[in-house]
Amino acid sequence: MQTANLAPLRVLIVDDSRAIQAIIQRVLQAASLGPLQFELAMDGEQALRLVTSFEPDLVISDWHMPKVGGLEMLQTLRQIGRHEIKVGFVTTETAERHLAQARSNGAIFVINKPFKDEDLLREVQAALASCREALKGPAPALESAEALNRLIKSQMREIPFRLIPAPGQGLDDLKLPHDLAMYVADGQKTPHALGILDVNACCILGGGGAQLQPPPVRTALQSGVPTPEMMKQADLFMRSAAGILLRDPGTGPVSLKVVNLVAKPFDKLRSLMERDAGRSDYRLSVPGYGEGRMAFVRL
Amino acid sequence: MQEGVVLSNLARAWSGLTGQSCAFAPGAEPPAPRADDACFMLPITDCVTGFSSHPRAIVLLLMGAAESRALAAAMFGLPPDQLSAADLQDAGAELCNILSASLMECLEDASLANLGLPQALDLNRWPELSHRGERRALFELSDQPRRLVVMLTDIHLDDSFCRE
Repeated sequence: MQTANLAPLRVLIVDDSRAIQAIIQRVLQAASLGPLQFELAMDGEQALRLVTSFEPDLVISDWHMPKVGGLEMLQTLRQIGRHEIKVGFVTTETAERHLAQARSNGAIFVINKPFKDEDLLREVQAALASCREALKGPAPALESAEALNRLIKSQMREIPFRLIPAPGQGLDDLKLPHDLAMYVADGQKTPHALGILDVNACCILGGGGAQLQPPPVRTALQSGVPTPEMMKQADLFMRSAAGILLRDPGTGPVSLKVVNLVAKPFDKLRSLMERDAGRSDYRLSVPGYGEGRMAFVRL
Repeated sequence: MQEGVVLSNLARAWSGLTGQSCAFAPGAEPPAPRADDACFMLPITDCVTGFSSHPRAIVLLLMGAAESRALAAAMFGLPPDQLSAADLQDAGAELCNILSASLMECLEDASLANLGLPQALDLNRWPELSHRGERRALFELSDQPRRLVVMLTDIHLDDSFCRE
């Protein structure tokens, strides 16, 4: 397995036997599972405390433990909303009535002690593979930050700027009004993506495209009203951005369908952004001008 | 109870943990403990009673010093001379836990039975506990000189346990 660029996955081993903890850790370390970080807990109570600080991707837990047992720990995790943490059991418990409870709470595997190394590895390998998939998240909406950087540079020419990734920015972070663009791919009936420049980004990209001095750009930023010349340049930027939107294999070129300055976002925009089928979010900072935000959202 | 299945599960447990092949066989009487033996106990409760402190059966494990060291060395992946007393006790308790799961088969009806937590047992208590209640099963490692005995005693009607 290629491990060079992988972030370590965090595995929390919960068992009241240090010997079993040692065995599980040894088996996983000896296998080529990519970089792993381990944390150990002697019971469910300790494990629940560690969840906040260690943020495990996978919990491998015993069932019968003092204080808080494995099932209770799993149920508590789900009750506090930690549904993303994968939990598997390595246990002597075999009663179907108990194991059914574990599965209904989302346990991804149950292995009985004593276990064969290959049985544990098979389950953990599958769990970690899905953790790595989840960590990758959806593809971005744009080809790359470099492509966006080049596009902004062609717009701003000699004006220095800084492009800062802003993953997780929300719709409310983008100052109104928005320059909202809709993109379509050739031959597709449904829209391909949306692009949003907040009013500050309109002023900055518009002012830069028109090669304006900082004072009129700052005035537009302060008033929240870009000039028509700025909006013309901002719209041109959005048109050019069609060329750097990520395309699905086999789909045709993407082009701008429509771009409008909107005073408030349409109802579904928030949920489209939160669905996160692919996002590229950035802050654009220009010394002397100010800072604006932009987002490209795959539909 | 399918004795053959239990014997084979016990052997698989020991060899899975230690890497040593072995065979278990039914034993006649609990042996007298030696000074360097290790003893463990695990209660089995019946959840229908609603009293988790009320054991229905107990599993008792007696293990020779050499077996304790071999087990802990294999489980911790350490040379025997680097093992602490706590390591030996931890590994022994976990063996008791694992063997107990196999011995549940020996109960007449295990459908409501729950495994408790294993605990180290003072050697002085072995003679008394190993002769108390109704013995359901007693198995031992058959390849001498290895020393390992595991037994299941039904104490369902022995309410003296409730007062402990």
